[in-house]
Amino acid sequence: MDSGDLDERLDGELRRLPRPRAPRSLLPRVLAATVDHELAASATGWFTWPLRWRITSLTALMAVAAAAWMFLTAPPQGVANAVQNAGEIATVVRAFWEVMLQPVVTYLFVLGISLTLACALAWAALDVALGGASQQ
Amino acid sequence: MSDAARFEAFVREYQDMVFATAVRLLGREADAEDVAQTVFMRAFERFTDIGASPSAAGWLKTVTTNLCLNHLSRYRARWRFFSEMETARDEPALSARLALMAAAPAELERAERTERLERALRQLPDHQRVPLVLLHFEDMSYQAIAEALRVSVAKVRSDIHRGREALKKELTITDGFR
Repeated sequence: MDSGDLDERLDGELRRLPRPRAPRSLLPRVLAATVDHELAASATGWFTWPLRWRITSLTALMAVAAAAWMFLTAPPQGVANAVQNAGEIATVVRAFWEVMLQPVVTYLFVLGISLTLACALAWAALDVALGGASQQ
Repeated sequence: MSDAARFEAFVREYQDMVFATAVRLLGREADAEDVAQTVFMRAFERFTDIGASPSAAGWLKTVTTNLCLNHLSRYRARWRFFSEMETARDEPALSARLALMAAAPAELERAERTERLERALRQLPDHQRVPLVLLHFEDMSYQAIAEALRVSVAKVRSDIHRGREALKKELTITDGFR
């Protein structure tokens, strides 16, 4: 067989070579990898955020912390007055509660329950006396 | 059909094609499987674009070829070392081969010849096997192969010629046993 024939034969043999088949393990490997990929993609931890978002969130947090610090150390006059007024009102309300309401609140509660029961009984007696006419 | 089911059908359809390209370019099944997995993960990330595209097969072939070439350039030294070990290990015993040939009808002979040619192809050195596979199985031109491998067209021609000579030698050896 000369070189030309051999070349032709090699071409034919190469053309006829069957396509290698993928191993059975490939499909499960790929599918498992896609599951891992989706889990990683759905993770919401701060470190998984895009860099731009992380920088923005960090800047916003620092701004909030700075504002809180300034507010606590040197509050504006209006806010200071409002806080003082709120404290005075709370004191008056507390005094009213302790002096006027707290001593009688238990009696008021018992009185309320008793009146409710009395009304219910009166209603039931009236209902019996009238032979159910009140519901018609 | 859900996205997951569509992707599974996509992998089933193209897995043989991707794996065949990878295993012939890389010469090792384990590496080819790794590369095939990477190819399909890339496809998964862009599945909305390529899932139903008529150019999906071409895209997969291009990505597979590029990943294989990257893999070969990255792991060339290590690959050669293990490849030489496997060459010695994979060679079937002469007695077994003779016994098969003596008892084999034409079908078995053809299967044996095909297997030997496939094995010989995979055992060629990288610089011969890769351009030869790109030429014969991926239908790339000499010019395109030279550009992909970043070598001259003359070198591509010379390497393919040497690879073919080695395969022709394998064919004549096989004939000698018949």
